[in-house]
Amino acid sequence: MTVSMSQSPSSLDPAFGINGPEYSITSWIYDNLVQMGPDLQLKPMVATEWKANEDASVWTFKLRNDVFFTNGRQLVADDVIFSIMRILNKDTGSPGRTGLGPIQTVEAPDPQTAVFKLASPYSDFPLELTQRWGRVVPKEAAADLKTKPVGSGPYMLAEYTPGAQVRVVRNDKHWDKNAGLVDEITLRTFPDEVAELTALRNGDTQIMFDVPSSSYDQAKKIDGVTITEVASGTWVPMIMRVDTKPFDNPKVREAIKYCMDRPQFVSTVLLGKGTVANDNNVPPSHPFVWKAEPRKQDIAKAKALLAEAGMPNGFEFEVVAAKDRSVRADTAVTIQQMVKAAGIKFNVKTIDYDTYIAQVYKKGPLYIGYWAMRPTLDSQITPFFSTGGSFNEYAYSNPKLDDTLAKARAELDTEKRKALYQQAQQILTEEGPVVIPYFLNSTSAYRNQVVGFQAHPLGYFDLRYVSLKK
Amino acid sequence: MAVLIVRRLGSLAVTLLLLSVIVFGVTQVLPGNVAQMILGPYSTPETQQALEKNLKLDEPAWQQYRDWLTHFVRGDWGTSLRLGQQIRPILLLRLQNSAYLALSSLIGVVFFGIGLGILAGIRQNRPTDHLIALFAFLGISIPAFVSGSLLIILFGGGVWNLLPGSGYRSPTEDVRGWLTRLVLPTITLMLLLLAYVIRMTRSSIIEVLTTNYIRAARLKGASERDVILRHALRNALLPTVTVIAINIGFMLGSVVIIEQIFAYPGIGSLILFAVSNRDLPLLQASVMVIGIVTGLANLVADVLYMYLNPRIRYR
Repeated sequence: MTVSMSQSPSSLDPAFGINGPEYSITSWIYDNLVQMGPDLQLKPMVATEWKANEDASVWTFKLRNDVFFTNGRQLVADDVIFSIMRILNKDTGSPGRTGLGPIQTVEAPDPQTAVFKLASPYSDFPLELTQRWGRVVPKEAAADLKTKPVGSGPYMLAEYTPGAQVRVVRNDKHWDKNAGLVDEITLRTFPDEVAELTALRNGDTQIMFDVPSSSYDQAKKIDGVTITEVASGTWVPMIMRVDTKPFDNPKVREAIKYCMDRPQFVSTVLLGKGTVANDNNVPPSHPFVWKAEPRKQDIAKAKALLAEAGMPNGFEFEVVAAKDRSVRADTAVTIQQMVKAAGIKFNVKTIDYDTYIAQVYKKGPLYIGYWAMRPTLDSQITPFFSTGGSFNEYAYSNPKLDDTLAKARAELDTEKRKALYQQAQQILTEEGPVVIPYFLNSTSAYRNQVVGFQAHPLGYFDLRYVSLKK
Repeated sequence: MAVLIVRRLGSLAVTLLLLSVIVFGVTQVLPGNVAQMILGPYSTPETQQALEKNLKLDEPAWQQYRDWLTHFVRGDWGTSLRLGQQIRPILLLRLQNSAYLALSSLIGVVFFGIGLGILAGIRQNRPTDHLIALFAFLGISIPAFVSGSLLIILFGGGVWNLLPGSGYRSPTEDVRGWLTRLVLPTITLMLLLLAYVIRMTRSSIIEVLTTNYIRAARLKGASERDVILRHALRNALLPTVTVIAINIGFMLGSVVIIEQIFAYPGIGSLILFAVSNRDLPLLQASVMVIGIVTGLANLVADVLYMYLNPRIRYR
């Protein structure tokens, strides 16, 4: 089976992965303790069961005893310790160091049990282990994992041509008979959209992982090809720094939010391939979503709010969009058009990505961001909107929100946790520092002989359980 | 002749040194840093600083440059910051791929360019000439991403499924796959250069055909075919060789658009990757290699030119 993506992996070592192809390939070669399917529910993998202590600060995972690395050695709890500590170790330089949650230590009371001690209570902790940095690697092969992966997953590396393609073949010794159902998978990189689509059309590839909206209609028309899409949690915010006038006034922020015609964004910017959002970053596909009616455009109300804030004639400001993704500029221009009616004049400035990262990200007062979805609501919301959060681009500090998030994080009861997160969403929608008009869809296309493949809200493209019809 | 070549090699070395300083200097000045690129958008400043220390990026620029240069000349081209692998094998493989593409295009340009140029020259101002001129004009005015995409759509599976639209196969594994995948990118690259060669050849042929020496050949009784192929062609080739030589560097290193469209893993894409990721060692090595190859190619072209025209000698 051949599958296509527009980027290529820079390394096959799960500790250093950040892009889509790196996620996919490592998910075929390695196993995690747990996994998260397209329904965002946690399922077992190497771990058969897991439980927390009363305050969710100690998590105990029971491991299977029939998991083997491709070098013949059995996977035991010590390997879990090694893999996790490797990520947490500063000297490794892994991007996942702060991405796995507040892990203090990992212990192995016996070869089939791994105990995680957290620095603070975290009820969604197991979900963090579904990420690429949670993959279990063998200590003896760790030095060469960038090019010579050794995993326990359903596939093994056969060929790696950097920048062009990666080929894996089935690992017959894999413990899960329902995984690894194809003889070999080749991931090919296509920087050009036309070429990628043509390859799907004539059967050179069987799955096109990411169908951009510009190719959607063409992909739909291909005979023998099916589209799968789902509302992902990829969000494109307009950041309003609350320590800069006029965005320090909540009425001004609310006025701007009322200028947004959200369905229009979906139809114009996304060509229909998205869902409406309500100024908070929890997507409609999440089980804990706050089911309120998204704010409708109300220019009169916006004008009234601006007048209350002392700016009846609106104001002028520059909004910055980086050029790495066209959706940023498209969103900026659309917002610009929509706020005009209330008397606000936004001047759109586009700059290249590197300048954006150096000068605008976390510094500028008004700009367009782009964030993929995180596996837990805590990592989706807290780093961005809590006081002092590592990705808090807004200089936003709301003790009520901080408190709600802290409570939700430690709450083990599902219904209570859901209610707390819904409260957090409401706070963000009503008083928050961000305009989030939509969520992007995650869209893929596959040929009809592919069975068991589905689009995933986090953009996780897992081919573990995918097979081909004869 | 030998002295000349040695002198030329010397000046090539100086040029390459200058090149390395310029590339190094420019990347130091650009915004953005490689640690951010490697660690991704979710990394924190502390993690980035730790990585920079790890990669020795916190040393002063001149020191980094000196370390790099001393290793490069000894054949150690360093490790790619982003890929974490030895640069030399990757670079050489990409260079080889680009060489295949450049060579096949070169052969195509030489045959079709010179052939069509001769045809246009001897049928000057007749319909054949105009048709060839139109074709050349189209080839040079249509941008590579348009012609490349059109070729894929037409022959690569959109309309007729004759040839693979993209990809890469190693010639040692699958010769047929390798060759069929070279066809469309080669045609795309050829189209860009054909116009020059056709026009140059045509003008030279026209000019040469009016000389006394050709009249003498004709009066001598030589057949028209001999006149063209044996006598006129050798002179007409001189400017053509120059044009081709000038474009070798381009054909090797600047066809990144064609590489992207056809998903062809050449050296142009590698440089694009290095720039996008601020991967300085990879960028330095790639640019130096292209500089070396271009310089040598130009030297070979000059020697060839002198061979074709014994009247020309450099001081």
